[in-house]
Amino acid sequence: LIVFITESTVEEGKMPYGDERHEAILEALVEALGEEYVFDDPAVVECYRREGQSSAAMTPMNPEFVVLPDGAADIQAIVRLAAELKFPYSISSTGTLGAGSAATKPYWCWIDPKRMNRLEIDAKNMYAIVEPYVSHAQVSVEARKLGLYNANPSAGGQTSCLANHIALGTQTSAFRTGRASRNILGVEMVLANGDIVRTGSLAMGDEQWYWGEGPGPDLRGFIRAHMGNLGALSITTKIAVKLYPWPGPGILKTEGIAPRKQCVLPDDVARWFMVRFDDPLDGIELMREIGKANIGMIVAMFGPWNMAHHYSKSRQEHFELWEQGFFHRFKYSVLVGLWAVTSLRQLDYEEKVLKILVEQSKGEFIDADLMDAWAPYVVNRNIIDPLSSRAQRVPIGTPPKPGGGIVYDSLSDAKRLIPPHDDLALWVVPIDGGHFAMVSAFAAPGAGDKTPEAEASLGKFMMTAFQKNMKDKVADGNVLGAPIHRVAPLYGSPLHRVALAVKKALDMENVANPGRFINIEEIEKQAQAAKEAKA
Amino acid sequence: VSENQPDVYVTKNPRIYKYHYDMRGVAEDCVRCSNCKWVDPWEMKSQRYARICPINTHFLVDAYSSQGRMDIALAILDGRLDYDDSPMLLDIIYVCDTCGGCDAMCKRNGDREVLRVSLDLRAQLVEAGQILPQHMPLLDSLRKEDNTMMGLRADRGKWADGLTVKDLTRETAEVVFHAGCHLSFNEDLWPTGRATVKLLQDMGLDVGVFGKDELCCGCKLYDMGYRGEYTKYAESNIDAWKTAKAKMVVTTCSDGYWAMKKLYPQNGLELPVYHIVEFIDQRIRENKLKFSRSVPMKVTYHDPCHLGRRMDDFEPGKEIWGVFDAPRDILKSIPGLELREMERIKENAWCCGAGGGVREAFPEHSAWTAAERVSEAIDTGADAIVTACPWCETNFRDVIEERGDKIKVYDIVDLVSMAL
Repeated sequence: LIVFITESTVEEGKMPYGDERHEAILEALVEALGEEYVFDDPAVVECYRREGQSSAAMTPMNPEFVVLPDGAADIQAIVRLAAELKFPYSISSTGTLGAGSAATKPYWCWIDPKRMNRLEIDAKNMYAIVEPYVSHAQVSVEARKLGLYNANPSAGGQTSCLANHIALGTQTSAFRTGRASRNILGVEMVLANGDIVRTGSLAMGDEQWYWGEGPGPDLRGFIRAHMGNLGALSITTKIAVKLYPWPGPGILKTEGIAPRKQCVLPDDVARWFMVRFDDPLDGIELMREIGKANIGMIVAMFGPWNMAHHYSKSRQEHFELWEQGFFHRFKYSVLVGLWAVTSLRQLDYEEKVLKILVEQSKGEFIDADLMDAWAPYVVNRNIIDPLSSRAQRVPIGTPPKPGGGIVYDSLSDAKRLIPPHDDLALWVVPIDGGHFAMVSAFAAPGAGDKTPEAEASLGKFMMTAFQKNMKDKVADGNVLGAPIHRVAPLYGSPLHRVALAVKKALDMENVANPGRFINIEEIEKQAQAAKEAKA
Repeated sequence: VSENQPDVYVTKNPRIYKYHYDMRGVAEDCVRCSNCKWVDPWEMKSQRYARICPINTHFLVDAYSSQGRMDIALAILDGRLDYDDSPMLLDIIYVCDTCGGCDAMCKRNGDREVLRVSLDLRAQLVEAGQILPQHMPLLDSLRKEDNTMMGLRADRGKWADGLTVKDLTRETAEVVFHAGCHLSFNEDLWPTGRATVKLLQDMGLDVGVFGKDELCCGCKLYDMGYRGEYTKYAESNIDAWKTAKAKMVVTTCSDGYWAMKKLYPQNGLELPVYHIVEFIDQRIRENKLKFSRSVPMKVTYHDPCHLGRRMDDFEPGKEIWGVFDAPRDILKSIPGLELREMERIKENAWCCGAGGGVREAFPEHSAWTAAERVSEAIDTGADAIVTACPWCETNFRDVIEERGDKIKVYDIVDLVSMAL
């Protein structure tokens, strides 16, 4: 279950095709990009009516224009035209689980970066330079051929590598490879004022992509604050992504035809283990010990729901397995992948250490026959295509616990399991069975107390959005974006005020994905109300 | 919150339990995941050949994708999009090759038959009189001459001139060889038809053809949305085969095979239908067909969409089915021949660009799609592309000739004949 939260005021009604303003914007966009890359046909814009899986939660609305830029210069031209002619815009690449890019105002321009699909790998320095429409699978396969691993932040192989990285993904190799945001090296972005910014070593010129921070203050916050991957403050046009050693073959051998495709890696490349726990805290303890012992490449906790949806080949199979309680007996299970990154001896050593750690833990290895049946469908997904097809197939927006208590349970788990970082949370992604609650702790200086009231309020808000989806019968998935003025105050964070200041400085006409993530009017209204209350 | 009872919603959701197809349901179920645009990540072998949808790869915007067609279908069903609103609508709907790459990927990901939505949408457009002008010559040809090739009915049987084979307009036979429109009117393909008849006869089979009285199978009509016209041809063919007292139908055309095998039973066909590759493969397995000559050649095999993934009868969780193995097994059994696979094969295969009426209506896109496949074939280092469909063969040959490529194209029957 992945639930983001959003609210936006959609100005409903059919777009005013053909009026003078429309024609003026169209003409300007055509002049900037060329006729073949600008669309306003009703059938074309209809296909950008909704993003991700939020068609019920956000009232859908067609954009008025769809444009296909070819790079930073084109984006710069669009952004400057938007400010000049005062039309709103947003960007979305592969769109997987994406939310927050659909139109909410008239004259909206959707930027589709499909022409920005260049990939370059520097094998010696172990990074890939990617544009927005390069998929994870493309990076992964080309990297593997060079003995490198793209630490896909648990999105599908079809997902934009760039967008997924800047959207703060985490991954099953995170304990070894770090969070996605920390794997971003040089960045090229177009700010909402049209300036092109190059950060990290890239700022030194000469196409140097090897380092992510500086010079001066770290500007990487612009690429994601707040939901910046969708264009509220900037549009990221190119990033370098750090790659890691991969000991296996470039092309992974598979067997069978989808959806019953299996993949088994040779024993001298990778070995997989699953350790079952009754209490997730004990599982976390093992994960911590694995980290301390400095072994393993993949470590993640799976619960019954996740185990079932990764294993099942159809929705029906998933729910049948769930209702039969087939995977319930595994309770919380820690998946460990050991890779022969340096040598076979290292792999043997790591296996030996893992066995000692498991013996000392409160867990036990799951039966070999069950592991053998489950693993071929699942484990190498962590390398190829994490959390993709099967997460798409299973209604991930459906709470598996009776009464829909997962949101509250997850918030509670977050508080219990991940102190003190829950205090920094700006959004919470509760995923039953393994993730409990991933708390994304990004940029929240001076976070205040997290109160039970605030927690309940957040949970209620999430569930309201969720119920709306259920009512509208599109609960097969549910991803919504979070407006900063709603979430930050819940945690006593002043981030919404910082965001407001930056937004107003860069986007004077308020055209960069306006009203949704950094809602100038709402934040100012909130500030005024607080001021009056104080007075 | 507890009153919401989401578990009840889940267990009663007909889109999850006891799967059945419904057009609106599939379209609404699209989660915009983009999997319909890419080959299965498990099978992706390079950045260059990572895409599965020809129209999205070529035209880029999402309207040209399965995802976009789901949105357009919903807009039409909901009355939000009038046919007259969009100058691009008909092109968007009809430029799709109906290759089913999106369908395979969406079945893999979401238990959704998205190609059926596209085909139903076309049928709805035709029903509403929304006819693509570029289709008119083809439709005229069918109405006047009963073929899709703008050929004269009188010339249809010329491919078999001089062959000693039963004439099913006057005689009966156990096996009907259905040549199909494309083979009948493309002289380059006649040797394949003649070789097939000879092959069947050498197997001791009682074979007959309808010659100039053979009718179109209707596959293209079905894919273009002309369900009424398709039915007319299906029923006429079934009646003719009944009159000829046939016990089975064999064809070398993948389009025809798909229509006869998958659609005709709904029109009352009770005879078994075989593509020639199934027939040959079966004979090899039974040791009834043995190759005596070496064919020293490096070849790559192109899966025709209608013979491959479009043959699947969807059942959630089941492997996507198509005639994937038989042609490969035949090629592997030919002495001296080396099979080099392309990157996108079987359910992940890239289309030749000739299907769904696209070769006729959008020749530029059709050729672009074929050129992509030919490049992929050349990258294997093969001397030749082998396929099992006359439409694919012709589309590849045209592109190769246009570009001056050296790679050759064969129907699999041609290679079998060389090896016998």
